[in-house]
Amino acid sequence: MKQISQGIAVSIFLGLILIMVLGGIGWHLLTSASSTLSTTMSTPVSDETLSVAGTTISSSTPSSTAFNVTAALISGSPPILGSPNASVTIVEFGDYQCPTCGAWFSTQEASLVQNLVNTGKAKLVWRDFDFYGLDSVSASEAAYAAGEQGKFWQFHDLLFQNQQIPNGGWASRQNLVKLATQLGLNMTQFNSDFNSGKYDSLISANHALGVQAGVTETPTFFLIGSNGKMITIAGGQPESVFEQAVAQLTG
Amino acid sequence: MPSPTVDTFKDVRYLCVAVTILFAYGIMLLFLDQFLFFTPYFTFYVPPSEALNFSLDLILAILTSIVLTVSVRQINLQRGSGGATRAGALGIVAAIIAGACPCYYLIPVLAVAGTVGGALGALGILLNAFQVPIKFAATLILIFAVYKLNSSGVCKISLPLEITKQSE
Repeated sequence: MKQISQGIAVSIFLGLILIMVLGGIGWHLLTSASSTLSTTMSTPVSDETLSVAGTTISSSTPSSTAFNVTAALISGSPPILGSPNASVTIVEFGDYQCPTCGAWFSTQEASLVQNLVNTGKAKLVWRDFDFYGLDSVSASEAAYAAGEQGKFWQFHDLLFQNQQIPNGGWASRQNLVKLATQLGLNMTQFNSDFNSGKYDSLISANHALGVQAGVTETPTFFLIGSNGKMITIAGGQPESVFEQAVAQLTG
Repeated sequence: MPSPTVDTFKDVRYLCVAVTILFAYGIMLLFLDQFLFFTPYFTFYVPPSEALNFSLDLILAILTSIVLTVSVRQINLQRGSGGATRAGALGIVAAIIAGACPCYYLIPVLAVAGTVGGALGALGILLNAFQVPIKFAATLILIFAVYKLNSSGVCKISLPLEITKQSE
């Protein structure tokens, strides 16, 4: 009898472990995939935020109407790499201090640009999802300030090439100015733009948009086809996955 | 000299339990470390720079399955030896501590956790930066647990008093 009760106890113990493991994976999958295929949401971000982000959701849109995430992701004028006429838009939500974003940049982005962006199949859009700390926000501001001189993507690349431990000081405002100097920017204009604070609302709006779209980790990519279909790729997945997804969206 | 670990895996039931834990824990680690993806397509990918991290995940999964299974068997044998029970409990505690070490997995959750996420997120970021040494520490804990389980004296069975008297 005692052996039977012990057996039951062991089974319950192992069952609990299994449930916890599978439950954890299931929960993660559910939260990551919450925004697939033309998701609509009933609680949009505020109109003020959307106008800052430059999205097409007009201020007259009643808050109770459905919010089309796909439309919001591709609207406005975020930094774009590649042909504006490419049939697929890849929207990347990232943080310049995020190690996974840095690893994805150094191992996958060049292949993606070569195989999908340079061939005109897709264009890459950057949106900030800063959650690692204030240095992340400073890095985003510096990238936008470089963008005023037409060098957003060069600065974006430079940031990831110089990435170190998050909040370790490599993305301090002082070091960001050094990176800008290294890139050969007009420093008077850069400093003026960088210190103006004019990008803060855009960065906040991008974060809010990411939350609305279901971003729970960085990098997260939303691949949007010309027909409005969307595929979400969460995490630092290999470039071959992007090729497969683009083929699916255009096929 | 018989080893509790070897004896455990001679029993098919315990072997099945170990394989189940190995797969469940291994898949969880590989998924959370982004070596395994389920969406949008099933993808398995190990970047060359992450080979060490991947190896540590496999070692952790194997050791955890051994420690948990042998610990459960030791507890089942508790009527025979108090030492076995203690070792079994130690093994389970060690497995839990080792499993809790890679708690940097909290980061994705903390990203949208608001103000509380700020403080805990900082801890998560710190742990994430040192994930390889942390996994080494977890591996050492589990190796120690395997050693203790194997030297737990499970064979020192105290015979019931009646049998002892009969043999005299």
